[in-house]
Formats: sequence, structure tokens, C-alpha cells
Amino acid sequence: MPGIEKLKFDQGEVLVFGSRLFMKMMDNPSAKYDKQGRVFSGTNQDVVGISYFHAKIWCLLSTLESGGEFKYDLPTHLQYEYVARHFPLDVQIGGNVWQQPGLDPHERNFSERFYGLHGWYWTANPHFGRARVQNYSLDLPGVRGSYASFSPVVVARGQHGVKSLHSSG
Amino acid sequence: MTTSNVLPIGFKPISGGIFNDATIELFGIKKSPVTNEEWARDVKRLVGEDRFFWVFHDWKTGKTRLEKDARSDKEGGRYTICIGIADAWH
Repeated sequence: MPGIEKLKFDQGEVLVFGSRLFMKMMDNPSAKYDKQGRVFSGTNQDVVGISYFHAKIWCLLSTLESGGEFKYDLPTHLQYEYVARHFPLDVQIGGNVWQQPGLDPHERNFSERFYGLHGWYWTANPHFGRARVQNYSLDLPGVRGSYASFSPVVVARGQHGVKSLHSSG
Repeated sequence: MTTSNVLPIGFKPISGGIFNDATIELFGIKKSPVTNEEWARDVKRLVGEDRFFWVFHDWKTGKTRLEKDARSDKEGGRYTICIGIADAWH
């Protein structure tokens, strides 16, 4: 059965059937990573354990909820770099996950964890500063679990087509 | 986006410009990543009890759309059984 891939995803799951995906939205995906010495599910901590598609669904549903007043989306590679370059003090693109005890920021293959989510990999570690963002911003979204959260972007009414609420690049 | 537009709470307006030889249109961006509290609140409000979704994603263009809600994981489960059989076969 070519083209069908099943990927376990945290407490939820993403089933991939070619271009069709079956997914579950979880209340607290961060809890997946909670272990002794690691707490990722605190209320004010950035959400982790979500895939590109979970974040995308959040954007699509938020757009629908706004009744077309806003179109939410994940930042494009260009938007991300633009903000990081020109508005670094106004927008938080760093976070605290890597400060969690027991999580080695030099973990092998760590970059895979960011695959598909454009950046926001929140680090206090200078080894993983903003300059490295480009390395992890891939054009095609992945469905891997991630230690990365997301910062959605929004465009106001008049700058997007209401008819295209269900489609988003 | 004009100045008369009010962005959602927590979003910062980003002025457009030319960047890397490309035109950046005006947009807003959330000032900080989505937190666990925000995620939980939004998921409960946006999807309620219908937590399962069919999504169509064009891997060539990167476009994604919601196809329909699913009432339970049973819908995906039927496919899972097929996959299990396929996995065993291969």
C-alpha cells in the first residue's frame, strides 16, 4: 500500500494517507514530555509536542472563528526572518524549553524536532541563536513531534479572500 | 492592514517592506509563542469535543485545508487496520 505512512504523534496521532491526514487535537500535548526532572506542561510555558499540522489546524479554525475578519497562518520563512531581523525586541522568538533540566540542547538529531515548524525554537543557548533559524525552516511541513511552539501571524480583512478560508499556504 | 484595523490581543503589527528582494506585506504576529494555557483554551473553544479532523495537504504547493470533522478515532482506525495489514504483508 504505497504512499501510506503511519506516524505516531505524541498523545495524539497523525495518520498520513498520501495527501490526506487524520489527526487528533489534544488539550495538553506538552505533557508528553513531562518526566521526572522535566516539566513542559506548565500553564505559562510555550506549547510543545505539536506538529506543523496541529498548528495549521489552529490557524484554520481561528480564521473561521473570526468570521473572515482575520486570516491566521504560520509565518512564512520570509516573514519569520523579517521579524527576527527587524523586530527582535518587540517579538519574543526565544523561549525557555532548552533551559529545562534534563534536556540536552546538543542532543543528536535535534534539528529534526523543528522540522516543519518555522523556527520559534526558543533558546537561551547561544549555540542555537536566531542566526540558525534558516537551517530549520523548511519549505515542506513535516509531521514530527517537536519541542518547538509557534507564533501565528494574522492578516486583517481586506487583505485575504474570505472564500479561501479553508486553504492556506 | 490599516491603522483602523484592530489586531487580535497579543498580536503586534509588522510594517511591510522590501526584504531579501521580496515584498513583505503588512501583517501581524503574535508577540510570543502560544503557551500551554492558550493552546488548551483555544482547542477547547475551537474544536470542542470534536477532536478528530480529516485534513488535505498538497505536498507540492504546501496548501492545507480542513476537509471535515470526524466524530471519533474510529474513522482513522479503519485505515489503521488496513495499514497494519499492509505492514504485515510487507
